[in-house]
Amino acid sequence: MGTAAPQSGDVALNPPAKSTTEDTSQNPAILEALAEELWFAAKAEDVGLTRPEFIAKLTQVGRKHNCNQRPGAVSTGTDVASFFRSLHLADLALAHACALGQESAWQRFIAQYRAALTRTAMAIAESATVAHDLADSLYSDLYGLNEKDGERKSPLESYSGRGPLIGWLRTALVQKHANYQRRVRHEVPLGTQDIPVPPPFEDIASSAIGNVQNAVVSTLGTLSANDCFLLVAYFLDHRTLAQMGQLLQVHEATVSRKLKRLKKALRKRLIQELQSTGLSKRAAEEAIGIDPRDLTIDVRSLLQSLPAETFIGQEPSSEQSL
Amino acid sequence: MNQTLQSDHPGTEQLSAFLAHVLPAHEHDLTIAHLAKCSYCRSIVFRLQDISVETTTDSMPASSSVPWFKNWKWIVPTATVLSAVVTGVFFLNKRPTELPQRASTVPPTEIASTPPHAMYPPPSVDRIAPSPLSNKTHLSHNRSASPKASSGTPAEVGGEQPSSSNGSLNRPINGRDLPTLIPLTPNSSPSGDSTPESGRQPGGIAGGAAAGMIAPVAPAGGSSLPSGALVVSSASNGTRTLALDRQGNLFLTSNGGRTWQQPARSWDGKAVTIAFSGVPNRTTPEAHHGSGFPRGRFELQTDTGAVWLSFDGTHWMKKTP
Repeated sequence: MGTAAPQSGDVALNPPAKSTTEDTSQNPAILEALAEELWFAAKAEDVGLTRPEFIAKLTQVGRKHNCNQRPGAVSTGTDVASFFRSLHLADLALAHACALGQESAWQRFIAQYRAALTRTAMAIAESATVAHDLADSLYSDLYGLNEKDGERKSPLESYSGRGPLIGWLRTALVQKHANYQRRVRHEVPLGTQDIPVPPPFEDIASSAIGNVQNAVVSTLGTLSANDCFLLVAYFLDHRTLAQMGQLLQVHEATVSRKLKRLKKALRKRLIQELQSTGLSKRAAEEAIGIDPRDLTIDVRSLLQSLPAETFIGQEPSSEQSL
Repeated sequence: MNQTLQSDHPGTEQLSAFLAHVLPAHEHDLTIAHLAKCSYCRSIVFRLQDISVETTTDSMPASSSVPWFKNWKWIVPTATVLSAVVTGVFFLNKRPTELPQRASTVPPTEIASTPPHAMYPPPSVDRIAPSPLSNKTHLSHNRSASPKASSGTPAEVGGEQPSSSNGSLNRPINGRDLPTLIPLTPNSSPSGDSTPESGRQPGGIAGGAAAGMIAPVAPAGGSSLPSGALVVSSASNGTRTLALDRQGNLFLTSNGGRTWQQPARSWDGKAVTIAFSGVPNRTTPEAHHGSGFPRGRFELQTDTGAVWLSFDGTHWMKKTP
């Protein structure tokens, strides 16, 4: 790696607007030193990237994620520096070089990730043939064979370096496989599908059922995102406490306690909802003891109605169409 | 549907960063909120989590996946080494304190050249030989072991004559005396020759001669008294060995235990100890006026307290007070 002197105009690590001018770390000299540090840490030269290309990529990543600050928040120089230093710079340089079509970068990419991707594909797919097909099709996608508007666009361009590249590749692979399964799911014969249960007779006190249904809907509607996630992951997806704990970075015993507390709180809230309709506490407790099969609520769809907010900074790029 | 996915679902970048736990708090909350509503992304996340565990486990070396204490193949070697160390430490600590051993005054070359049959256990009365630093212990022990020992000559006492080669005779074997160490068994094997093979007697006792230790009659491996009883006391003058069994029978051998004779019984009562006091035959002739004949006598003590003396182990006369 050469020790190329910083060129003027290279430094473009400015955070997205609204930077405080009082912050001394916004000093151009300091930014230039940071750029120099990142450039050498990334070893981008080894994969055929030029310094301006790499700095431009860093700037784009910084703008895209607002240096990990909330949208619209002002990033200080310290935030900028810590954000860029937390990136997987070597992976970012490699991915960007691959996206630009650098031959040496692709050779390194294949040598570095081929075995891991094949292993992942083997773990995902049911057979070796499907696994190899999956991995090969991912390579073609990553190379940008799917052109848009006559321009080759590699999904690797969306990699920001916040996580390791291998994690990004695994996610892309699983997404691709999930999309494939969603497509072929329609080919399942109709005979294997469950026949919906006919609606129950109206001999049960329909008013009581209606009250309970309304109470359930309003109670579940007040759940926080975390609570909702716990409920659906445990009761609908049948995930284990260990899986959920690992994902949320808490111990499985903590997940268990949270679930227990959540169930208790839900029951209490449900009774309160029923009481608000004019029922006594005892009548409300009797009401929630009715047979769940009498209810016509689709709890799954109720819990999983799409949220109003969408992902910030989420560019509708080709990565979703993997 | 694809259009919906593209606009509402977290992308590859978000999901991979979420799984790597590097998302900032606000993005993490947003992702959790989406996962709570979206079974598609939830399935991807949990699938990725499983894959990460599987592939990480696969790529890890086998040795690192198993804790060292669960590797049972090391149990036997570890136990062997530990027991050897404990045994070694035990004997190293016990030997000098409980059984003081006199320093050998016989040159190593001389001991090594001594025929195995000439290396016999020390007389029982002088069984415990003191180190130069523990004379008091030695004397008190001898007093209790034999009333005669404390009043005997320095050679008889053994520990009082540090320059005497008799001291090496009185030295116990590895800190233990013969009668308590090895009970004699029938079918004596020859140990009178000085061939190297004779140094490999079963039981490893004769082998101790090379290390400067005094070898017994070497009854192990088949050698025994004709009576078949256990030896309670034995003594040797270098050429002849006397052994006393539990019944008080005295036996004599002059060929290292190959054949045994029973000397004529001259004493009354039951013989309880046999000892040799003097200079054995294996010392250098120059040290004993060139005679080469053992200067000393066997002493036999009966249960009545009488002491009988003999120069050849065959003819006995009562010691007068």
